[in-house]
Amino acid sequence: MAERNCALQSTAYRHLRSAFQEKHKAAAALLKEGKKGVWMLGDEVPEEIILAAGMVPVRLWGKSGDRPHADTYLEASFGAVWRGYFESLVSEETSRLIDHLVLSNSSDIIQKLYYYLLQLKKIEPERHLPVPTYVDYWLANRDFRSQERNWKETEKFLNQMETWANRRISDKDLSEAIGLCNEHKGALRQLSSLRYGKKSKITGSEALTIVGGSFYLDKKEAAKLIRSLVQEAQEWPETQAVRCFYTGSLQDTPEVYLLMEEGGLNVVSEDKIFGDRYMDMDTDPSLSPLMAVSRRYHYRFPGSERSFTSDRAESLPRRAEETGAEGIVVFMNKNDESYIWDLPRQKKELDKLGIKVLVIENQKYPLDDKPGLLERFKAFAEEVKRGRDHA
Amino acid sequence: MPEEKSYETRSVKKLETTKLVGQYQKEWFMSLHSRVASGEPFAYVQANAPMEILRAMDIPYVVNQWWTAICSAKQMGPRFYDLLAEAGYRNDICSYCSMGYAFSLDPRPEEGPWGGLPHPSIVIGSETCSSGMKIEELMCEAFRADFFRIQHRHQDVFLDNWWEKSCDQWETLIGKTRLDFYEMELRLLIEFLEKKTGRVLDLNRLIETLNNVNRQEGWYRKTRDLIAATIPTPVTVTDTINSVMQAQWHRGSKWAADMAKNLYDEVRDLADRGVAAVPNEKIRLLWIGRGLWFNLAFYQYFEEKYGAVFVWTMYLALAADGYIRNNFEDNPVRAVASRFSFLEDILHVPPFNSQWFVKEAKNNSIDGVVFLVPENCMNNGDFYYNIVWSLEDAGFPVCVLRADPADAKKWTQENMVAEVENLIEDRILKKKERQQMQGENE
Ligand code: SF4
Repeated sequence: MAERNCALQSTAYRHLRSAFQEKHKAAAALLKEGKKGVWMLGDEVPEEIILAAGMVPVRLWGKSGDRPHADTYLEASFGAVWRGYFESLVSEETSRLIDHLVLSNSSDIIQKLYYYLLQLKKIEPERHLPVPTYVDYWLANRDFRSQERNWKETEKFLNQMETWANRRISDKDLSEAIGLCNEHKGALRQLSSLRYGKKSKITGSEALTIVGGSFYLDKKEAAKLIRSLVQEAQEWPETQAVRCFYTGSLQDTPEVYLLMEEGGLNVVSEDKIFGDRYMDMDTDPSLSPLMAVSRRYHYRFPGSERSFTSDRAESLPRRAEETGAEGIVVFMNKNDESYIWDLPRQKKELDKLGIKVLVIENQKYPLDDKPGLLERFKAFAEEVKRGRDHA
Repeated sequence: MPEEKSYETRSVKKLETTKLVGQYQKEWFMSLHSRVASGEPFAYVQANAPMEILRAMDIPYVVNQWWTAICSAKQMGPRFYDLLAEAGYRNDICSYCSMGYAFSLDPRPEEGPWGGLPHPSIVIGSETCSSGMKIEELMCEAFRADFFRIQHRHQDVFLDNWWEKSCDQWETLIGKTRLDFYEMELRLLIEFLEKKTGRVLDLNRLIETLNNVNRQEGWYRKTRDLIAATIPTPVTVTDTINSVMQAQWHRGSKWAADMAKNLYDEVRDLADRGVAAVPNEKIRLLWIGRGLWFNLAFYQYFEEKYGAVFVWTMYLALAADGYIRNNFEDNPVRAVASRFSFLEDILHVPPFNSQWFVKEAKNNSIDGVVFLVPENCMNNGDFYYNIVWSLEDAGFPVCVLRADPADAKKWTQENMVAEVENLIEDRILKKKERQQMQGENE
């Protein structure tokens, strides 16, 4: 399915879409008047604190096209998504925009990128590389020691941001930033509610574009646009495609979602940052601001890279059921395949719910067999439909 | 059944110590069955685990990588990886870390090496990567063991030449924040072990264990230095790799320290008598990466044709530089934490790894480096560009082998031989010729 006219006719959608498609321009606009940008790599960078420090959080995007630096510097074990991010950090075109970078402990590969950057700065000092810092949350457990650790880590990060911004961050600053981020996330949750269930009015690719676009706009403006889009979308036609939950390698462009749509599948939810995992919970304004931030990143939906199989076998099928998904698509880039260790256990739970699973492995960038993939998506859609008829 | 290969996979062992540790290892594994059957606790751990604590509590343990090496050397990898496939997993990735889990799925475990492995009652998880932590959990459940997961914290102190500080200035090397963190993790582990096993960690035993570790690793240091300084080398890596690693897994025991001394005495004797492991030694090679346990003969493959001898792997050198901790009496747990927190960094974090490899290449008069990059490890990332660049910049030519270090089925002997031969012929020998011509002209 190509982009739908109903979406393209919406001014709000077009605005968000253009921020998403022209990130470079949108980021430059965010950083106008000498505002200090702090770039983020990883799902668990507390953007509330960056905002509270008067700086602008900017989500790093992966460079598409050739990635010569990644090919030179990185081992094959770095999957396509990570290669794109590294390329953005090192290539001339984007690197000059990036002075400060925060990486989070969302996957071991990000930790490696942090170490590599530090070393690359030493051995190639002539390169413009950002000053990096690292947020080391422990996400796999929610016990007391993990809570305490993450709370302290949040405080450490706040101190670091105060240094970068050269100003104090008061509780009031932080509460205001939390409010702003919650407003953005709240608007996105309204949008997501239009994706779930049989009457899904927003396609996965539209949602990804909207969420992604909103990252490169002022949060207030983004929330406003999303709310207006939600109003319009009430009138959009329902999608008839097979409803899927997406997990696996991060999709930061709609390419794969669009291909799935062409094959008769629609992603109604995902456990990814360019989607539902970004806004699945608010930062609780009733808690002390620092505690609230720490909890928001610790207690959100468990991402596979930092979770045990038992958590994923429990949380993913439940989430799929809640969002009305009829199937799960596990889409893995080559060497970004740790998800496979979750699968047999998850499948048992999904079988009980009658939810089918499509596993796609070993994918390259750029996609090297789009027709083959399309056929697999079509076949899966047919399989799920047959199950529907049978039921 | 073990798989037959068309090429020789077994190395020729000539040291008495290797035979002694091999025999001891076999007996130890056999006795493990009766210990576990009589109700003793038994732990399954990762290579970086704080084994000193288990040793001091007299809790027998097996290390995942140790078990992998044994199964691999017995050519049993394919059998176990097929079990993974049968259970719905893939059998072509994470081979180095999934052998234990694969073994737990075996309906006939008694057919494993030396009667197989009894089911552990405790699993201590310390893998950092996404797959590793999942595998640990799956294995723990399959064994119905109690699980303790050690958390990790990233490195934020990067001092040059770590080996100059690791023995005496380990507090400075690791940094206070990180050491405080790991000390707390180990104290939680001790509490967990005491509760689960009913055994108490005796402080005096822990100190004794650490003294044994220092003694053992001190002998390895002398052995490593002796090999580095002796040309032609009295022993190659195939002579030392097993005797070092098997004793390393028993680190902290008096037996292990004695075996380290035995090894030194034997090598010293060979060196004193001028015995060369490879009499026509012309080229000294350094091997970076996990050991090729299923094909140790590969290390000897280039001796006859080129006089090319592998004199270095990380196993002896890491023992020599990575473990000794002096001045620990005030807080032995902190000393164990300093070792535990830093061991992986030595191998995987720049610049610790690259600086160390260059230092070792220089000290061992190395002519060329063979670098095994594991193909099916999604967590493989030692910044190999930086390692290769650092070594080449220091004058050491490097060839990179991309292969699976545990699954014999995927090894392509001809290709790997060709890669190393190219290194020898195109780079090392040509460099030597140039140097010789230069020498003659001067
Ligand atoms: S990714 Fe590598 S380190 Fe992690 S479990 Fe697999 S083989 Fe082991």
